[in-house]
Amino acid sequence: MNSMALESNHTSPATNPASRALGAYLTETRFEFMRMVRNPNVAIPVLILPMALYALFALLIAGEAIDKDANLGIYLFSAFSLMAVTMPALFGTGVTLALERDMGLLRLKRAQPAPHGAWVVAKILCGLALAILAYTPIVVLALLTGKLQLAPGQVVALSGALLVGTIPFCALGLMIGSLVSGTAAPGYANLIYLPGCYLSGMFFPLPKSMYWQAPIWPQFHVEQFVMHAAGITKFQYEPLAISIAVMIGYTVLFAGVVIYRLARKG
Amino acid sequence: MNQNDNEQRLHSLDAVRGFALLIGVAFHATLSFMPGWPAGLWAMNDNSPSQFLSDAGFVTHLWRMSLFFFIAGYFGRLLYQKLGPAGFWANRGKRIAVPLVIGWIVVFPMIVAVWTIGVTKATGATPAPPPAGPPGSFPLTHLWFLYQLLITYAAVLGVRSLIARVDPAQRIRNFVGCLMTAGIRSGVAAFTLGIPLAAALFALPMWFYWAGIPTPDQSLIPQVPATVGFGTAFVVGWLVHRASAAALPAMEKRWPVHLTLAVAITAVLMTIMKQHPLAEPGFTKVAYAYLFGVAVWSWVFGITGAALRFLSDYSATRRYIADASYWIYVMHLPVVAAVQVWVGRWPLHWSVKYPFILAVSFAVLFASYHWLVRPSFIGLLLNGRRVRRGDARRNLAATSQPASTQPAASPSAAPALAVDAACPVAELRGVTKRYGKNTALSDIDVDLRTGELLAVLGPNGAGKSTAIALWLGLIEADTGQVTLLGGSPQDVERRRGLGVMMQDVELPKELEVRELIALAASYYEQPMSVAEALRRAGIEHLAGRRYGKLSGGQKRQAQFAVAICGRPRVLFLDEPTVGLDVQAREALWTSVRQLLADGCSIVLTTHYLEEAEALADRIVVVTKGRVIATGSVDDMRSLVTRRQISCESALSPQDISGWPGVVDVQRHDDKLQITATDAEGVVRRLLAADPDLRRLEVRQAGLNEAFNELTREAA
Repeated sequence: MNSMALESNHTSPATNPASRALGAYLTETRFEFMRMVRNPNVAIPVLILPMALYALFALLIAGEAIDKDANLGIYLFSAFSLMAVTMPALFGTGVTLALERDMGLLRLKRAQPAPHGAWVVAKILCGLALAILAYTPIVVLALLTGKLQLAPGQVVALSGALLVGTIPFCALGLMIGSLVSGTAAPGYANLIYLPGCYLSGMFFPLPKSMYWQAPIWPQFHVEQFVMHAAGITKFQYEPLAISIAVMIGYTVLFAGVVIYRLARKG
Repeated sequence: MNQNDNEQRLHSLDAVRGFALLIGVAFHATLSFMPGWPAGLWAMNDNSPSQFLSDAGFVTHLWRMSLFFFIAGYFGRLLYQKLGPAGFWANRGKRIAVPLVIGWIVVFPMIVAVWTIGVTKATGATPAPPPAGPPGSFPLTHLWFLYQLLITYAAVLGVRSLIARVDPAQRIRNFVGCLMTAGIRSGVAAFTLGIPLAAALFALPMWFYWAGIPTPDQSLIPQVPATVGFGTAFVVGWLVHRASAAALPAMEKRWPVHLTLAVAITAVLMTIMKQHPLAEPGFTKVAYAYLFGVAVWSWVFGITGAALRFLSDYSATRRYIADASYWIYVMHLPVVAAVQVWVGRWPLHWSVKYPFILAVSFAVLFASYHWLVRPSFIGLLLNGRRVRRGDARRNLAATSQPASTQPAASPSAAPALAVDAACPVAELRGVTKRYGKNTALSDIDVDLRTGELLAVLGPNGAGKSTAIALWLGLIEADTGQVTLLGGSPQDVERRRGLGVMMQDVELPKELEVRELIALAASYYEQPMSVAEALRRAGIEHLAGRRYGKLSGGQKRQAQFAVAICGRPRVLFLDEPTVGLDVQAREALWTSVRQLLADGCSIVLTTHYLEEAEALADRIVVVTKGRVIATGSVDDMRSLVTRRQISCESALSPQDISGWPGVVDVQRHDDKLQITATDAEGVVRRLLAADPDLRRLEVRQAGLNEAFNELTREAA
């Protein structure tokens, strides 16, 4: 009797599975955003740091030099805007994932019939939103002060490419978050992220003897992708196809580790 | 050899089989980097050739397929013993012949397409169609090994039936088995088993040393060197299974010797090969062929021995990889070649490209296994369905279980998740789960019936949480069967019927309680409204509070609401009332009773025995990973014959403690507390000994006493 009653309760034609899954994705993303908005302390440092550094270097230290050489302005802008979009992607997603794992939340989600990937998508979208938030003040500042001498179309293309470039870093952040604990995650993220910022030639031009190692760092390929998108030939060192391929390769690799890891350990 | 040893060995051999297949993927990934290969020999000639990869390719190719056939022989006999001739062929048809045919149909056009693109990219010209080969030609591609395996099965079983006829008492066969063991133990086997292969290789008119055993991928007619070499490997594997009690330990013991020998002889082979890549008749060819055979067997015994030594523990990761390896090997060639073609003209060093090729290929192949194969009919076909731990043998190579023990078909094929009231809604049958050397659950049987509340009791570390994690699909059992709503808990479809409240889980502190419920409800088909979930959990007043601002008990109540909001048919409550005040606990109990009345089945773990007494239909007591008692609350109490006698008497406890049937006596002021197994006898004697005895009271032991006694006995 019970089972029949239950049967009629639970297996009668329900909403179609695709729309239910979509609903779950939307709900997850919505609540992820709400969590971010309600806990801004996590986001503030990653939002302020890149803009403060850009203002320091591009306006105060190298302001006059940029006025003489527009390329230097582009170089500095791309470096700090890359930092602005990748930091929230990496730290925002990675550290929160690690903390949630510590809380046992992912274990619970694995036990619940939560659709695979809903929270991943939610986290990546939040990372993107943070990236936009961090990037906007820099671009506004650069344009207002005339330190970025590019055509409007180039600025739009460059901005779009920067956002696409956050995806491998979201994946990297998730990988770190899936491998280490919440207290260790910021340390490991820095350990991987900071050397890449310097050794990829992002912050200062590398000596020739160090060229060989630059392609190891995702920052290098994202930067190259951005330069291609904006059509700035002066700073193009590898073909567009390779920068895209490596970005995809890194994303696949990092995401693979995440999926493998989280399927086994919440 | 006991069952446990046997299983451990099967774990390691299964790992070796998976390793032999996966190393083949790595081998094929080297082939675009071969220095000096003409365009068209492989799908791509990379612009950064590598002598190192050429050498690495030679070394792995030397033994990888012999190792595979050796393990296939071992598992072949195991399967034959288990299923008999008809069962064996039915099984091999499903696991080997069908994947061969379907795999070829799927893979061949992909290979042709990738090759065409690659050769065009490398040479700038469309490749010419291959010339017509001799009769029997057929492009088997890398799936030749399945074809060769089928031929080998037929030949070996044919010979076996002949031998069985002339040797009914198995004297010859036992003798050969002993010989095999002695050969492995003394090291002679590695030096002699390769001789037939050496002879077949020596007889080849054109033999490139690098290629080792020429790959029989162009013809349906068996090729002599491959048939002899892989046939020997298969037969040796078969015989090692016959003599496994002695042969495997011998191999395990000698692995360092075999691997050292393998490395040394391989170095000699490479030295010769670099001077004369193409064999010329003469002493060098004889020596090379013989040493090649020795190297093959040293590697096979060395790798297998090392696996027996180091990989005999069960590991879920290795098991997953071993299960995935068959699919991956069948599908890998077009994927690997496509990535090789893709990166072939990049201006990067091979040391960057080769790992990239492997990473992308394995990512694609493992992902396709995980989502396309493991949960689907393809997995059923290739591996006998998703890993059922019931019988390690079932998970071997591509062996399977008889139809009667086949687990439920894929969820999409199951009609609905209908559960018969008489059938358990969740079940652990013969389940064992180990964490390293610790056994968390040992051959445990527990079932949850429709509409009942089953309380799982036991001291800390008894295995309660492990049992629940198995039912939730968070971990997989080493052996035995775990079912939830008639299928595997790994299926999301099954999990849509469950609700769970775990220990040690913190929900996002920024979200309000009603938001947490709405989020969980979005996972289910027909959830309750948020208001109803709040009402049932008795926390309407907390709806707008953020989770981070709740007290410990309120958090548990919110988690309870999250657990029930999907109208679960099975609810798992792990210590649900820890930290609740009396009122909140009563409210939760009421809600639990209502769920039971609605037909929900509940598993409850608790340390509060009165909770189990108040709610449970049945109780199972677990200690040290074993079920030590199961039954209703009354059954549990009656399992314990002790009763408590209290009275006011002047008798001294020392006198009473010597009476038969008395377990324990204590005096509190003028009151005596006696625990007795034979209460009636003790009471008669008390009354006789002290006519002034007053306030006599005899009480059945409560669940508390029953539980303590049971677990003390088990300890």
